[in-house]
Amino acid sequence: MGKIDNAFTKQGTVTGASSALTEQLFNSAFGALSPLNNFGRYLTGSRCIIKVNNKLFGFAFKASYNISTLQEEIWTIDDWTPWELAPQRVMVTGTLGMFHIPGKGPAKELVQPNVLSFLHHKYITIEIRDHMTDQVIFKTNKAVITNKSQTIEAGTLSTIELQWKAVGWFDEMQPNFPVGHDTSDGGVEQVGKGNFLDNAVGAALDSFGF
Amino acid sequence: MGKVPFFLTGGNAKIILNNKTVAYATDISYTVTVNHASPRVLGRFEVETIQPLTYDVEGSLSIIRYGRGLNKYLNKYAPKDTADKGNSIGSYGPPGINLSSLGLPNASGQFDGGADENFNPVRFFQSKMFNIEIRQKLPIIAPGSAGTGFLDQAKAAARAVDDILLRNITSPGPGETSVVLLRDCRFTSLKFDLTKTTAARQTYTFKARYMDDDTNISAKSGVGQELS
Repeated sequence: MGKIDNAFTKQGTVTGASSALTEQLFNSAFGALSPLNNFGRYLTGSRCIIKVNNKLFGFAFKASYNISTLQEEIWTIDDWTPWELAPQRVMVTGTLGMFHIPGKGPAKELVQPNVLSFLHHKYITIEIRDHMTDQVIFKTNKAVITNKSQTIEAGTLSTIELQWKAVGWFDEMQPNFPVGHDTSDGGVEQVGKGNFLDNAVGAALDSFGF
Repeated sequence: MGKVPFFLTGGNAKIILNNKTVAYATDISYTVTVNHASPRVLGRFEVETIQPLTYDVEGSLSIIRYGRGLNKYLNKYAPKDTADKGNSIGSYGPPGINLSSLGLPNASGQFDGGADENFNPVRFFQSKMFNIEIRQKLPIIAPGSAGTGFLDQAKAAARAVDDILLRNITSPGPGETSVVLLRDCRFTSLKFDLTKTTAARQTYTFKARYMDDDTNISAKSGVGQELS
């Protein structure tokens, strides 16, 4: 009997495999990015990948983060609304939820310090990326694990939750000073080559490891 | 002049489980479920989009169950093709030495999935996922020999190279074609039914990672995720 032409038999040929590969590459590369495609408009967990220290964490199932840009209310005598909201602190914290693959725990992967490396452990990087568009959703280059809690229970998969803190972050937009925003003192117009603010931007990004 | 059946029915179908034919199967069904989110936004009645979230394949398979080791007592009455080792879960192992336990494929190039180990607690960590395949039986037509022309010979040679380099995951013999392949399955339940009015029946439910059929081969998403 001759070979029946179907998806299975095509799969078993060099030409079928190469055309399937081309089709998949085409679909994944252009289908998701096409401006006409409205299907993948919203972000979901299944399209995000997590990398820690630039290494894929395929066993992670959950990530959350909290970015606080705290502003101090400046109260003055004889006024019943704050005179100003003064920038105070930037705090970045978050969690990573993952399954435990024996031999690949956070300490073994050099993500969390152990009792002897605690004082001198390097910062880690955490990156969440949309693998459909390859766009960064969140990234920090200076994070440390502050807490690890693990659950081992009969009848379920063992899970680990890591809590972390970070210095600085960036997401879909690289950090920069506001340009074109209306400010009362006209400060943004002062941003130019070689001036104080421009140098400050570079120094700030360097300090965050960007 | 007789007419050859065209449509797939229980009568002309065959179920292959863990690379072996399932004898006395009575039915099989499966469902592919893609859960979706339906985000609703302010100022609009209809959903904004229907966004896929998860992909699951699950199904069930039933067989008529018969006893083991009956041939020496009931051989002359035994239906054709009944195996003396019975047809319950333990009979789904590979024939001969299990090379898959060493990480090697068997002679046909397939990896045994250890379906026979799915209900034995001590074997859970050795057991691997297996495939379930549904085939349609076809009239056997003698293969035509390749023509003597240069092009015919070249095509035959290319097909032979294809067969060596990239083995099709399904390899039906003459007179069969693959219609469905449920890849990377594990049994999730086994149910035995015996009533006074029917033959004993054993039903398995299973989950699979992928559903392929003769028009569609599913590819994995998230390349590299499993290995990291």
